[in-house]
Amino acid sequence: MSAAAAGPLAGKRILIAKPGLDGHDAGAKVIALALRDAGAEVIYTGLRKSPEFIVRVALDEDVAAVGLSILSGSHQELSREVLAGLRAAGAGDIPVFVGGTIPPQDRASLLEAGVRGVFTNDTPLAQMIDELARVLQ
Amino acid sequence: MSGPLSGIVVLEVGHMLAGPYCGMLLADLGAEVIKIEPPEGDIARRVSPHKIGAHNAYFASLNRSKKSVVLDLASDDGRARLRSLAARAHALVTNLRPAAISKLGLTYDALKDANPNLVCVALTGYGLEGSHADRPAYDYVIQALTGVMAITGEPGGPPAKTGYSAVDNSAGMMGALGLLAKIVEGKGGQIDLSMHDVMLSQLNYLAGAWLNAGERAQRMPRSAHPYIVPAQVFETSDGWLVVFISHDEFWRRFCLEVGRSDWLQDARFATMAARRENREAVLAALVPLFKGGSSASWMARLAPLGVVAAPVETMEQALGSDLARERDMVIAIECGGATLRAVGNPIRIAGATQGYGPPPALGEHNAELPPVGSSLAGGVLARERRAIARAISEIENGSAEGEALSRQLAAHRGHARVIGITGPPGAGKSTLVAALAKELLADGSSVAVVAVDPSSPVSGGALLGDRIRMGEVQGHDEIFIRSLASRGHPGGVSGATHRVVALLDAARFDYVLVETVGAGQSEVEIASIAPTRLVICPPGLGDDVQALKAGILEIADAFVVNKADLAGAERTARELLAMLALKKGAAVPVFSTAATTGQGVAELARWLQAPAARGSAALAA
Repeated sequence: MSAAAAGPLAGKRILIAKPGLDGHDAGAKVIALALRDAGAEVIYTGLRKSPEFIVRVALDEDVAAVGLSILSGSHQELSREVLAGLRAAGAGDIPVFVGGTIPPQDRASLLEAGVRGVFTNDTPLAQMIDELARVLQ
Repeated sequence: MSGPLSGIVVLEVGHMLAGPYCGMLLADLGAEVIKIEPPEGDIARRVSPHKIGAHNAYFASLNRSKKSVVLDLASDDGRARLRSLAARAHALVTNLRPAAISKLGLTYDALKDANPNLVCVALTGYGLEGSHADRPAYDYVIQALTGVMAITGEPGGPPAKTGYSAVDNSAGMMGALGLLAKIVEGKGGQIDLSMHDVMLSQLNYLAGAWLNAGERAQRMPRSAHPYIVPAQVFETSDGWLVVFISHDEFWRRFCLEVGRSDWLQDARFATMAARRENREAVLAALVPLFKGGSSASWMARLAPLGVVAAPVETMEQALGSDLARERDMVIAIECGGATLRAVGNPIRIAGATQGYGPPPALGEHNAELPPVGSSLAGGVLARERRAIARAISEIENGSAEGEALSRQLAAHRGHARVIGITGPPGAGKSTLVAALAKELLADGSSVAVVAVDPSSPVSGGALLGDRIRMGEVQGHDEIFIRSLASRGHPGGVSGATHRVVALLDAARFDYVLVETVGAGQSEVEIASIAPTRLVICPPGLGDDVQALKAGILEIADAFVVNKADLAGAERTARELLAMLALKKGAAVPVFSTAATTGQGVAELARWLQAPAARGSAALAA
């Protein structure tokens, strides 16, 4: 990376995953590219992955953070399943972030469940990157 | 140890005074201080002629409550162990020479990949870098160079050093202060502390007088204060007495006590300003006066009046004083059947009980050293997924533990069949890797996949998307997949790929499939990593075959025309065969596959499973 500028997420490996059944990943790709442009090495799984699969990839790829993109409305269940899976694998220290279509009233309960940050489509990318950089410092 | 720094781990690569004193102050406050010594030990272990049990007295007075580990920092193993220690430490203090600090890797720059939050404190004579960095720096030298010696001693006499090691002690304290400031901040970094700077800093008001008013610092007879008279030492009938009369009221009480009320009316003596103007006359009157009585008698007369005075006592008297006893400043520590007596921690914290431990024997705590890489190495050899994942990160990041792992695992290589899969972007490499892995897994083999994608030359980041096309095989128990970013390394792989492959080999995967970045003509480094190379070509390669001739074409052990279900595949295979017919040497087979449907993949897998993996230059499927 000699010629590259050191972005705020330089050297961080981050998994972007889409659990559940929704079929759109434009948002996830926008996020993945933004993180890449901030210096992160982003592993993207593609669509429709199970929480179990996401935990497996997070562990094998030894990521610093997991970002879940959820548009289907199942964010409560899916987030909790990923968090539980990571904890069961002894990797509860990997911070999990959730983005997508998340009603404002669900934010608090997600955070309470252990999600480290909730980003919706009106969260500026720069703000999201700052938040990630702060948590992953 | 208990104390406010309980839980803080400090590594001390110190010798003699400044570094060890810094470490001891932190240990007294509860930090776990691990002293890292060379095989022959801190030179302070040999400096004093006195022994306390097995300990050298000088060493014992500066190294209580610490642990000692012996590391040869000149060796790879020693440095690797240092980095393992640094990974779990909060700070490292050293007072070696700048050249040694740099050579032994005791800086934040050298250790930040092991621990980005590490605070590194370098106590040096003149700074870590700069035109003076390599000059020798002893307490004497720094006192000589900073004006401290020039202003110490009687006027007209030779310059004098302070009676104790003011420079080293001050540097140790300043080092602890800087270290704690960074700990409070919560961020790692380098503290570059020069003893020369430290002593200049302590010239504060004297320096200010010169810098702002042009007043030169000068020695005063009998250590007299430059502005206040009388404020100095006076000789008594049996010793020396400090008298410091800083207010006119004390002067009045003094004059009445010594029966010289006339001095209160004397224009030369009446006010502080007058006494400063008439210093010589004042002293001419006072010097014989004080000489006429003993120090004790003067104290008996002046102390009740509130006049500031003190006998000049010896260090021995001070250590035996009621005050030192009352403050518990002389402590006793049991060590190895002997009792070490020392000066205690001056930082007293209300409600806290101060504890002290003995100084360590050389290397006493070596058994507590974290094993270098061994826990991860054991996990890798046992093919534990988490250990493999962590170990790859260590290797990819070039950490000391990663280097140690690579060395440790080198003896376990030779099991895996390493297969390189390369070819231009869009050839379907990831899909083929997944299909091939599925075939190999179905035969009871274990498979590791290393998938390399390019890093952005602009941001340094990377989008590692090979998994998108690898499908359900990723969930198989006997497959391990790792995505790597090229991190600017040319050649189609990352700089760490060969070591990651070696690690997966040591983990006894039967096959390690290495997928390169979308390769062009010159990305041929895979040839040095994988003994068997598949070059994947998409249909319609056309004239590109010509372009590949001089590049990856030459490293292929087999060609795979993937997407064989698309138009033009057959023609591409024919063109490859025609081109290969012109080539002399070993025959190179050409396979046709459609990875998305599995067509032809089994044949390719069988060929790879064959002992030689060398086919004939025939259209194999």
